[in-house]
Amino acid sequence: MSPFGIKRGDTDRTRIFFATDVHGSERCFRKWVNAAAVYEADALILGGDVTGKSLIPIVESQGGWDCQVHGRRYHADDEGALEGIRSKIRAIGQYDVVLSPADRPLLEEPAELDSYFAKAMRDRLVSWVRLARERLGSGRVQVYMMLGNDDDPALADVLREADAVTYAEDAVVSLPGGYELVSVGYSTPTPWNTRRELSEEKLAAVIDAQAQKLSDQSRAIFNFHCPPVGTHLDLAPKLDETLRPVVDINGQVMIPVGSRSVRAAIETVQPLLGLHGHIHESAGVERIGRTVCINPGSDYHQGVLRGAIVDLHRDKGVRTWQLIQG
Amino acid sequence: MADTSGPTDGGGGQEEAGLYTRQSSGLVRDISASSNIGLNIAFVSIPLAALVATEAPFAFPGASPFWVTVICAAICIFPVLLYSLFTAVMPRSGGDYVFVSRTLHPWVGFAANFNIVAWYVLVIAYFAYLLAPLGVSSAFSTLGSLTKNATLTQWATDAATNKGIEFGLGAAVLILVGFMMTLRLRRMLRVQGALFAFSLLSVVIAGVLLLTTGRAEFAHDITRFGGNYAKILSDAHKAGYTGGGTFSLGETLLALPLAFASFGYAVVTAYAGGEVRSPKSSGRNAMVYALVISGVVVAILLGLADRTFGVNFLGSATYLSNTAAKTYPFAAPSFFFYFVGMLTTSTPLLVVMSLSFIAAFVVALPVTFLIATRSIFAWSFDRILPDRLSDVSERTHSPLVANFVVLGAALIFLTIIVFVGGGFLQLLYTAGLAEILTFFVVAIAGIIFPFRRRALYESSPINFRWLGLPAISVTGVLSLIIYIFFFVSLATQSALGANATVGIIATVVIAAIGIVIFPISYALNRRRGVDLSLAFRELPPE
Repeated sequence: MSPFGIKRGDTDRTRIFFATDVHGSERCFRKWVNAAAVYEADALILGGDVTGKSLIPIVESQGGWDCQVHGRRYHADDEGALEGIRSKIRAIGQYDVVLSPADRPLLEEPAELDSYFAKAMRDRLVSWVRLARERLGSGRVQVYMMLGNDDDPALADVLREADAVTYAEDAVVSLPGGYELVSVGYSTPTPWNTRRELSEEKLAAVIDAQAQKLSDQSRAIFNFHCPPVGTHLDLAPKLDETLRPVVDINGQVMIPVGSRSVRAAIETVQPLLGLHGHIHESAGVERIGRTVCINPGSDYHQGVLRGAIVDLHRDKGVRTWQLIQG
Repeated sequence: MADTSGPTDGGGGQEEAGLYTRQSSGLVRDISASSNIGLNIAFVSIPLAALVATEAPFAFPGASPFWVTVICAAICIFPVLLYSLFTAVMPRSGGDYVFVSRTLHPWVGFAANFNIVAWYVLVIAYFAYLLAPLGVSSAFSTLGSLTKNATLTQWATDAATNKGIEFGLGAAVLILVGFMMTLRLRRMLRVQGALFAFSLLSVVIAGVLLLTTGRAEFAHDITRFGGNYAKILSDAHKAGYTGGGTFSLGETLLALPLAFASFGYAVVTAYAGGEVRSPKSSGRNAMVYALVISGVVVAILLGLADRTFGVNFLGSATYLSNTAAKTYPFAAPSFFFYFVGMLTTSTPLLVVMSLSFIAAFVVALPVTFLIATRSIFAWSFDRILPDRLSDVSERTHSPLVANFVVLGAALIFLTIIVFVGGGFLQLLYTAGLAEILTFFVVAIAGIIFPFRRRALYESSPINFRWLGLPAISVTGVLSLIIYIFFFVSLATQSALGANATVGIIATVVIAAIGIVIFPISYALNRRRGVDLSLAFRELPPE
């Protein structure tokens, strides 16, 4: 009996566990992998933005190593303590690099910093797909990952070469139960000019090209990193010119920043389900026509995995959904 | 303002020492300290906090409104800091629902949050009710007396005594606010911002008038409104008022719950804001700074009121107004801004101040409305309440069903307040008593958070200690002591009316509804194949 009170082996049911925007958080990724067993999912889907955003240098010093996390100084006297600090950094989605005092200034050079980031991001992603293979390699659970707007496009190769993980953006993929997953990890332009952004027009073209590959639109699932505009899934803080959130008497001013192209595609195709992310603070569920659109949000920096359990029924479509914070 | 919105991750990391960031979305800067503090001050509602001026010396003869304000603002620092610390580690709208659900259990989180949100809705209704007897009545009374307009004076009396007018005005403003909430959010916020700025004018004008007017001038001024300073004092004492003697520290301490109704709620941004983490001290301490600033402003205002009006006068006038109406000489009930209005003969100034004070009542409504609808959304997303409650308008994207639920509940409460009366007339303090039940749970969650959610605590920006103990645990203990003090004060002092039978019944019924909904929802969801207990269960992180 599953925790949901549904008998295992219910052949009409396909259970998906979806999470997104883990942004390098080791703890969130491990929880996502472990969620397959806890929730008895048939398919795990990880939306885009798998890589972290910041890097903390751990500098060798006399008798140990020093660094700062959240503005607090940490000192490690031995290898065990060093690993503890590194684990803490990885848990919250940051990268660490151990440097000698002589190498420390290298991080001030943009090219060197980029190089350290590239290596750290690749190494962590490689370790993740290895973990997924160890835990999920039996094939009982199908595992899908993609990149988001914040991820380096070069990392797609790591996912393509992974054994137990399917890179979801290359093609329309079939889920258990005969559902078809269409994945697009690009976003519309952001104030940060990130690696995988497209104008609305180009994003519409990419989505259209993918949707053309569907054999049965009525069983489609859209895994689009960018949420549809004008929903409660795409409300982000309005920022001023200095990238500070704008505040008024009611709190932060929130405005819709989702994609028109994504919304138009959902309105036209009317897939069973829309899985979205990108806007961490805008978790929620909303229907567009018959399509249930979900953004589970993200709390990666706290090591909390936000996700959505969705049960699909062969005849009834989306039977139940539930947002979780694991 | 440039439209540079985008996804955020609660960054601020760009400014943190020893941290390097790459070009990626969400790395926003903290909310500016001034914005953060201003936002919190807005929730304290300084104009309403000033009402302590008349209530404290009436209900607690010998109490000093000035010291009530100073002491209450000072001790409220700990509960406010507790919410600040929780907001720093769980920077999500939802306030105690999120804190308690994650720390203790979703059932406890829902019950605690439902309790406080239900009472917020009740307070919305109470503010709408007060609009006629306090806001509109005082405005008409002051203007009528000054301009010798008998019609305005009669309207003032009607607004203060006619139940039909009280209900009609209250219902109209609730429906208006409900309509505002169905508009596109940005348009509604513009209206709201303007109302808030206008509401602060009454505070500024009051400060200037009190600063420039002495006791003798005031005694002269009130004769224009039919009052006699000395006679009011003597009539009140003849009628049984015992205040006006020496300062009493004991009575002052007993009166603290009056100010708690304002200062204890400098935590409300935890519900309405906080999507972006502000881990550095300026962000974390913004609620505390706001509390201190509000306390200083109100204390100055009440200190000036003591100098100009005299605590004895304020207590005596309120005593007559509340208990011996036949000898009360004025057309509107006794309250702070009414007497401030008597200090000027400038009609435009009076009009502005009166309307500004009315705005202070109105401005509190949409904010609280928004908190209630956001909570309903969160409960709906977590499947505790039906999905239907999070339906939104296709055109404006506003949460229509949630708005109707809040509006309907507020109108029901308004009907009870106006036509049933009884203990509901002291509803503000009953609400304080009931809401402290939720605060108890939050304080307990704060105490045990570092031990129950060790990993989350260790990786959080509030991972620091005082006296060798986690700071949030120490703050939780101090907050619990303070909440117990206020709870006992409200529960045992009949002068405040919080312990009236109808209030106690309402407190128990609302708390019970919150406690019962979750297991019912759990059972119903279970039949559909949804296990609510999974919503906050920690997945193995290994």
